[in-house]
Amino acid sequence: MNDLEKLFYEGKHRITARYPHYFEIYDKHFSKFRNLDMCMVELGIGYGGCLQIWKNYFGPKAKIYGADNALQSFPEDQIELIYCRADQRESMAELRQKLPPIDILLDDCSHISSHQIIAFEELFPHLKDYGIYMVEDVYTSYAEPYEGGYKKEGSFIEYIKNLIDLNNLGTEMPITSFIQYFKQIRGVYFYSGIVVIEKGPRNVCDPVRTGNNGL
Amino acid sequence: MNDFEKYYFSTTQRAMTKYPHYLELYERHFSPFRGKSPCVVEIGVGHGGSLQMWKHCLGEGTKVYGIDIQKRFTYEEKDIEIITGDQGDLTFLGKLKTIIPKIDILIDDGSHMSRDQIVTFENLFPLMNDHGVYFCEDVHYSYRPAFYETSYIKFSDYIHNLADYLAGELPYERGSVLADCIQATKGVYFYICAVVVERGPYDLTPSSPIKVGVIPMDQREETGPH
Repeated sequence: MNDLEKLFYEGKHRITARYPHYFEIYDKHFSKFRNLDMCMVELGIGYGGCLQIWKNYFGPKAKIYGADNALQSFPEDQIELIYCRADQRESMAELRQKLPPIDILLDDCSHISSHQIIAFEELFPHLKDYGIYMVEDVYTSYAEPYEGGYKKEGSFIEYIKNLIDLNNLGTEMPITSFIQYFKQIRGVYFYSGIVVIEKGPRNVCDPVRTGNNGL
Repeated sequence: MNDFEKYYFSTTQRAMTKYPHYLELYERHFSPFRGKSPCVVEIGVGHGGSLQMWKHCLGEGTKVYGIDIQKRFTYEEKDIEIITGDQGDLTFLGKLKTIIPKIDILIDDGSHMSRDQIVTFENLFPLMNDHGVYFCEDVHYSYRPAFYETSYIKFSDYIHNLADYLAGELPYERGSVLADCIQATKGVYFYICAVVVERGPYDLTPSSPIKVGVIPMDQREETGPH
């Protein structure tokens, strides 16, 4: 059991609900930020239980922001709540202006594809290098009520797949609005119910030959 | 510099050609096997330099198998074995299964043809150990018409499908080779020019989120957000 799981199951926090297999994925991508002066933003806060778990996991120097359109009020050190609407691009842009540069963004908001895309486009540029952008419960990308469907154009997953394709086309890539994002992507990772986009400089050059050329 | 980078930029052993940004990815995905006597299989041997790198960087007890369509050179080294055969030939792949032990790390740097990559994945991935790592190199070729047959699915599309099944937990028909691969997949990683598929059993029970914590006093009677 990792520390996040322990904090979760101890239950000394406001109520929150999570798929149990997420904890291993969180810990894998988040642990490098523990005990650092870091900033995490969660979209969609529910009762706020998870914000308290993040705070305890990341330590006293962490700053945790929760953004939602239905704000709970609970005054707590290191945790700040900000009103925002996931369905409005202007509201996401305003949110960005209120936030310092982000280390971890977790989208656990409406789970509607067009909202997830708006959030990504507005907030990914605000992530620091080597920052982690995580979208949770992407099962909804395949479900009609959330604007999803298998290989359905406009779903968040299809949007991400396009991003991956462009990431691999390199210089052959047609110029599109994607260009500003893919230049900053180190990797895109899929797990059950979760997609992670890792930010960072591209650092790619042509293959280099090494070793003894006579062999 | 990690071990792979140090070796790569200083070796005077046999030659190899890799994208330098792969070296960080090798460290990320292969280092858990260091010192644990892993079995490494690489398709596409070239001059043999990378076979020596796996052996050197993964520590004592590492066993390396290099597979290539042609015998390019004779060469003998402890713990490195080169097997000649075509990665797209089902008979050869069937025979290979009987020769090599269970694989921990599988690197496909072979023909870069979509069909070959998919056939290799479907035949060898089920043979891997739990937590095994499949690393396919130079996947940008699969976007070039010369590297896929129009009658066959492109490698990039194939892996996108695998990612769909994983991320969405989509239903699939049991009993097929693809089903075995889907079932064993824990993570799919897309990097620039490289794809990694990680094996691993993970427990998906219960299939719905668990709720833990205290309902705030002021909201005990309400139905609030989840």
